[in-house]
Amino acid sequence: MKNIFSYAFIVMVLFFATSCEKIVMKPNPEKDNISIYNEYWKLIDEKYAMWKNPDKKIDKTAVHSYTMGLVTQDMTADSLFGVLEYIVHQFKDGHTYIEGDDNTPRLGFYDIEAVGEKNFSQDIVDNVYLKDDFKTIGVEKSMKYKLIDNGNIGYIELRGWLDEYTNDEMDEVLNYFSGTKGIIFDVRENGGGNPFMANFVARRFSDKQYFLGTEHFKTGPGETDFSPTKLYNNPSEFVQYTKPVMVLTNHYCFSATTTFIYYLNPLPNVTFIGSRTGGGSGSTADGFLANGWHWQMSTSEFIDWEGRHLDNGFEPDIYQAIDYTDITKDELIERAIVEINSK
Amino acid sequence: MKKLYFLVIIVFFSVSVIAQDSLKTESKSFVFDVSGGGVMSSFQDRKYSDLKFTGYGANYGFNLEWRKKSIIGFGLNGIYSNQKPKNFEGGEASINAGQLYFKYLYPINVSQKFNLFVGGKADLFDGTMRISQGLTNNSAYIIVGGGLKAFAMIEKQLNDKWLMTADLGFQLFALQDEYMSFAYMANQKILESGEYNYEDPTMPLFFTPFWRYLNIETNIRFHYGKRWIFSYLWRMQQSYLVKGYPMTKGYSAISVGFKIMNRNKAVSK
Repeated sequence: MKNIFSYAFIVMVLFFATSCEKIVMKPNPEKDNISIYNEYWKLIDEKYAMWKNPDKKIDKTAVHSYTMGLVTQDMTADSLFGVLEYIVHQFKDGHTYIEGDDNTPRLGFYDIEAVGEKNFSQDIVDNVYLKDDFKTIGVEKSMKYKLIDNGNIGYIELRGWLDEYTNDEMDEVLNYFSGTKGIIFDVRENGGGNPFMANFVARRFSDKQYFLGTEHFKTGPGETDFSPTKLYNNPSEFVQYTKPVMVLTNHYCFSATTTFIYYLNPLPNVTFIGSRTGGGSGSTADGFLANGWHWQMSTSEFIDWEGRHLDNGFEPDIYQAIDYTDITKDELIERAIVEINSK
Repeated sequence: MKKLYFLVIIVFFSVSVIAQDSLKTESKSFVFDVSGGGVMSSFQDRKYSDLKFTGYGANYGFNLEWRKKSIIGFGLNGIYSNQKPKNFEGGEASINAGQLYFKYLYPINVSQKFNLFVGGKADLFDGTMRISQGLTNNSAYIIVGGGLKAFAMIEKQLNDKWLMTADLGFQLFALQDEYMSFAYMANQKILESGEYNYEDPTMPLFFTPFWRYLNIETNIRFHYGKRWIFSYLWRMQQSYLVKGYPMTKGYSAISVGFKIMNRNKAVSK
């Protein structure tokens, strides 16, 4: 009896040892045209978080039936890409795109730079305000800062959220501005990056905890499979700056800059000056289709404390346009100076 | 999947029947071995695609084992492997996985030619990091934590030179953090609870029973003489963060080990 069970055990172990995990895996997906279309549609159907965003006005059923009718097995890869690109354009969402491969080298995306106002000239900022005597922090020296208006106002320029800043560095900046009446935080043309760094910086400007709004994460395939997460701006335990802060915006403020904006928006000491932003409030996921095309889409939606959907942009408190014919000043910076001095 | 559960139950049932025999002999030994070899790995995350990624790499191991009546083992094992899909060029990924373990095995049947042990193996640290090229937010799939496995091992003397050991481990539960979630680079349970916090992205460890995270390993080793070990290992994990969308990963590893220390003393009762 002992031997029977002993050898049964050996056989079992050998079975496991010579088996493999591929037994429990699904077969590789097909990559014909209809399979690729169905795969992409299933992904956006289950994962895209803003089908019901009132600003986007998407008729899901109509988009599906129209695009499904366009796909045939014998159409070219380029034509199939065009169908998926059409779907992408319906979202008006800079975070959602489809990217081809070497055989179909195309990028289907919603170009936020093509809509809205630029309202920005780096030359004017460099020549009139920053000149050559600014300070920087960050590994990439990306955050530039300087005293302007005879030392009364601090100016910070930040064009991306791809760098990293330490608490010591942020203390250095805010201590340098401790004697100022206010700060101008210029995030025009800041297309985003790391949202963790955006809230890391934004927490330096709050005097108490502020409710920001709710981020609705897609957590399952069903239409209602969202998990609402309440977000707060909790003040940093390091140096805080709670005097007036003017944030300059334009159409290319996007993604992590929208995070930065909604982290600052409820704060009473913060005012936004410029033009409507590019939005991009959702978190994203990405992956590969079975044919190698790369997709990315928004898989959460942020609705702010006043019930606004920010994915299609954020309206500033004060609209201000730049006059490109006058290269001696930046009207947004000048307006911010006036606002700070008037407080 | 039900087949796997069934077979595991059969194995442990077998072990309990064999346990009716009494101990006859015991040995006393201490072994320290190092090993290295090749690995073939695979990965599929159905939350995002049915694409299977496979590839090759290397494995390593450091193992300490004390034996008197019972077996106490401690060691570190890991793999590094590249992976890519069959469907297209690109999409390459690399996977790093490692386990720091402690095991305790109690003798159920010990004789001159055949020994059987059962017990537990605690993965004090069990981590996997898979990095995908060409992806942005979804570039990293991470599992970290530890777990407890039910563990059984047989040992059979094949002849004067060769000794075979074969073991099977089935994870009962784990304390771990795993992400990707269904649609974001965070823990699924954290998101579902509404507790996700951008200001503190560190994740707690969650109790994960075997029906949420299947973790099986088998290992067959052939010991030659006093120093050499030739080993085949298979390890598989399948997680069910979202019903109907499992993530499956696994690898088969072939390695050669060398017993740097092998102090062995047989004791007859």
